[in-house]
Amino acid sequence: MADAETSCSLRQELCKGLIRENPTLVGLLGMCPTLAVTQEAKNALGMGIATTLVLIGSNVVISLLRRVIPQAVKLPCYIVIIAGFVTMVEFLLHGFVPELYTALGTFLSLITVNCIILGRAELFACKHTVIRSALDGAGMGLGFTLALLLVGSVRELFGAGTLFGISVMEQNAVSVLTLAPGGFFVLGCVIALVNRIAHREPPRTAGCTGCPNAATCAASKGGCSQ
Amino acid sequence: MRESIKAPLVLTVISAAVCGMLAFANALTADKIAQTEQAALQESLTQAFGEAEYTALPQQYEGIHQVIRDTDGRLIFDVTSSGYEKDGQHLLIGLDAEGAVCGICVVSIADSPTQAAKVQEDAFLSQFLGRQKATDAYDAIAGATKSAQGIQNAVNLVLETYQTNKEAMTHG
Amino acid sequence: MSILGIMLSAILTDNFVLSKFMGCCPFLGVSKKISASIGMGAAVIFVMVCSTAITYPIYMLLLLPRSLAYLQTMAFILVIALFVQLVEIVLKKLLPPLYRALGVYLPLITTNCAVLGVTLLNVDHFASSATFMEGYGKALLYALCAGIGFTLALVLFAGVRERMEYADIPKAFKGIPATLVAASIVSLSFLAFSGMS
Repeated sequence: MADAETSCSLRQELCKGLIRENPTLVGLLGMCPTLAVTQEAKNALGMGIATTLVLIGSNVVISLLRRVIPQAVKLPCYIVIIAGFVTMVEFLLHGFVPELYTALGTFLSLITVNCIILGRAELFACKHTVIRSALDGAGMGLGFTLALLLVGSVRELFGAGTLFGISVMEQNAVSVLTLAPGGFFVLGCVIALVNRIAHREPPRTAGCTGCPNAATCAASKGGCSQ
Repeated sequence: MRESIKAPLVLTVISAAVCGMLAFANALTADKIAQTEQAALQESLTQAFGEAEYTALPQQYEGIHQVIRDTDGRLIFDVTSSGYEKDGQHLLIGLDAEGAVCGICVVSIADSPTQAAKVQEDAFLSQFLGRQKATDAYDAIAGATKSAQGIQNAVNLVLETYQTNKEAMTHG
Repeated sequence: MSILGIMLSAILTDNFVLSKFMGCCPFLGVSKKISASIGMGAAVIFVMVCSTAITYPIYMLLLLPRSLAYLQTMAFILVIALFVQLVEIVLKKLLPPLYRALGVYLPLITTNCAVLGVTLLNVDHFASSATFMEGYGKALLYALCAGIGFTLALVLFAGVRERMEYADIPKAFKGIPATLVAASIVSLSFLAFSGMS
């Protein structure tokens, strides 16, 4: 498979994932963890960093193996590689940051099916060089972390009155924000805010079905790629 | 023909390679993980029940991770209970030599921060101290009902298990 | 956990989508038609139950006795991915109209957090059951009820979205943000079930 032509500079590869193509706030991907682990800002940060590590690792390995993996088993191969990195991050957290490991719980393992990682693998890493893939992974991961931090900070600050554990306004907290409904609500408002700032009309569907790649990737018999 | 063999072969090779790497990573980190867990447990024990010589009992009881005995004859039960999150509460419940609750320590709790704070307040936890029998009546907390129920259930489980297995635990 | 407890919690009080946030992407993205939601839900129930049927024994009989528990994430997702591809092939051959109706949603089930989530949670909750068959039975029941809960949330929400089509929504909120706010209200109503235990 020939490598894709790209006119982006290396710096642009890194930065595009931060704001302009932010995977969660613009691409509307990876919303499960964004809703689930953002009760507290420090968990949000931890999840973001863990996902970024997996993203960089999987992008690099998939890019390295891009000429070797056959089309027919592309998706299972990517999934196995991603699962491998997720498990390694689990080891690291369990041994060195156990509070984060317990706080993230099942969602740490669920990084495996985070649409962002599989999406970047199929959309980018399999067609670009290792360096570019690593930068792309880093940029997207950091963008995801930013989105998580934003939602997490709002939820913790207004829901529990603390920020990163430091008490700020505990008297006026609206505790429903730290529960399930609050997650949906805050994320909706944040995305609406981003749309307002960017003056754009968002795609009406989220995740795989809204992804511009949906037609081609379903056709390539691998399923969702974003 | 070659193509249809190449695909599953590549998948198998990659899977095997990943398994190998994980086995290697596991070997590297297993000790550290065990160490961290032990240290965390020791710290919780010392924090809640003071410095002492703690030994884990080998017997396993349903619903309880492990039972730890200290030199004073106190029994500490390591249990997981469900508040809002299933199995989200990790508790250490201590019974003194007479079988009365002498301390409850919340090791970790997955419920939301406000509820977690409420159930860890002394005003709530102190109602369980001195209990010797499992009861259904307890004072709940408004706004943290399920979290409070989780702790109540855990205390009942501990007391019931103690009643049934008293002999084995104190002299085993 | 009692049988009734498992059923109630999976479907209502601890609903996979509205409380645990697993399976959000299809929940927010699937069409506004109730019929499509039911189809998607049925497919998810089927994959959840069958994946549990395969992954639970793999964990209990293969991984756990050999201290290979850390391979569970890899093993489970591989089973799910291969199983979904198998279902695709079978449906294409035997039930082409259903295959076409499900369209792109069928392969998407692989990346559905709820499916991998239910297989992992089954192991967490039921691995310490008294006997293997007891744990296996409870795991299958949990998977079935989780799927039913998922379908319930999906169908309810399709109804909500159908109505939202006629509402006058501010431009910035159009599309996903409005959907999320509506989801928060549905989730709030499900929160009321938590008083039921």
